[in-house]
Amino acid sequence: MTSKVRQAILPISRFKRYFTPSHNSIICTKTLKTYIEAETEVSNVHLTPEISLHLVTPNTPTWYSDGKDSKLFEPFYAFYWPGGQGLSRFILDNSDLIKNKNVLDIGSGCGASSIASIMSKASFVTANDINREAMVILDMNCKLNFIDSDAIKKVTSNLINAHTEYFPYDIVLIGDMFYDESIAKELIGWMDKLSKEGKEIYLGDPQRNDILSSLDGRLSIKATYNLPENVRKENNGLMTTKVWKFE
Amino acid sequence: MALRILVGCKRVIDYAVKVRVKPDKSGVVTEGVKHSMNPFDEIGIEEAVRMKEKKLASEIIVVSCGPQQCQETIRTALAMGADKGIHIDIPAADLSKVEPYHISKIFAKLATENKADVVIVGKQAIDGDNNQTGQMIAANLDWPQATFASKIEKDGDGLKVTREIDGGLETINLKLPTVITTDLRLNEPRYATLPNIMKAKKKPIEKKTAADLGVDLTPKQQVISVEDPPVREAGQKVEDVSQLIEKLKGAGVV
Repeated sequence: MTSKVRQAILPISRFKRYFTPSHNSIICTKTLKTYIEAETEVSNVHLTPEISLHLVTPNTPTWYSDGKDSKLFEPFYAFYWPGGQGLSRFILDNSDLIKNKNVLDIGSGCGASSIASIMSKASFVTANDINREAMVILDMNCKLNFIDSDAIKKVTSNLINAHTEYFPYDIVLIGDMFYDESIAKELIGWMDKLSKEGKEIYLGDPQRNDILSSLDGRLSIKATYNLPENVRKENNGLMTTKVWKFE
Repeated sequence: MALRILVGCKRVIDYAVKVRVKPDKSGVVTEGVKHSMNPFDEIGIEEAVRMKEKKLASEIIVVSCGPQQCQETIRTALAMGADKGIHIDIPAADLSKVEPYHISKIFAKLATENKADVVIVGKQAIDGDNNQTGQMIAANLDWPQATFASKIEKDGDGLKVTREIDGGLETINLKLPTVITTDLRLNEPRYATLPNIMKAKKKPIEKKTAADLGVDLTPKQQVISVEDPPVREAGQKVEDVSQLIEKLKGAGVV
């Protein structure tokens, strides 16, 4: 199913309907939740064990599939990507940076960095992911961690390149978004504008490519984490993940 | 050490498929047949990824020459942990005429263009069983080579490679840049799992033609006929040694 077809089906977003590949049909939130529960397990085996997450792991059959039989369509949100792991670890360990701040989590995925921000007492958190299924799993993950899901504002329109004037956020979190060169290019231009407006930008990334090295002079390294063995298996060839501040 | 590694991944008829010769004896049937990555190339990619995990390698570029479907083979390699792919587009109709000679020219050119420190290819592909490409790449580049590798280790500024030879194992030290061909016991390749497949979709694949690289694909050889191997005939059972000797004498072989 091409993304164009997907987009054609999805504008009924107001009714909270989701697309599944294997059923070739549109399902409601409740059904999506049962699918997510069936295809994931609750895991704490990652860099932030204090946050429980519904994840596709080596204990779930979906892990070994090529994704075609999965009831979930490209479930990027059901993996805890290394960049997000490092960023969430950093947020939990440096809560003074986040406390009482207004935080925007770009490409929030499973929502770990948003949850970590709430745990670090951010005054307001917005999770942004163009994948609407991600917002459902975020809701489920909030419940697992006894966090009121309404405490996190959920936005599914693309906020990359949003106007930086009257931008209400103090901190922008960007976890593992540089895997795609076209997104990366857009992000870099936007980050430049944001920093001119005095926003704090934190990047978490395992350096899958050379893109970040082009920003050398503007990144100050904040933390380096070794990836746990299961996370390395999820990301062949990667051993560490890093957190930088963009200035 | 931060080596740039160029690895070949050939798309071949799957090892489990029964190969059939075309009625006109011009080659084997490839249409509608399951294809996958040459197993020796899979071993090559696995080794490159392990070298990256040991911080010996900084970037892994995979190359596949053939029709559009080669991009699926490249995607598999990217899911295994390679960083970017180069697809040399050769239409399916022309592919049977392409020889190790041409492929080695393509690899030599790409190795130079991409400043590769190491080129890894399978010792042979399971379709043609030529066992020539790696050696020819080394000759084209005038680089040292280690064929039939069963172990690759760092050794000062170079590499120490254990080779499988008829008499046992041979260990050689190589200066860089170098060409290595993989043997079966080098490693056991990992499977590409869903999280890796998903992220691999975003890794870049560059498409080129042999002409872009200045490589002429005019055949050097002419295939006269491709034949099925002779069908094995049924044997006979004998009760004891004397009966065996009797039969052999009868057949006039002893």
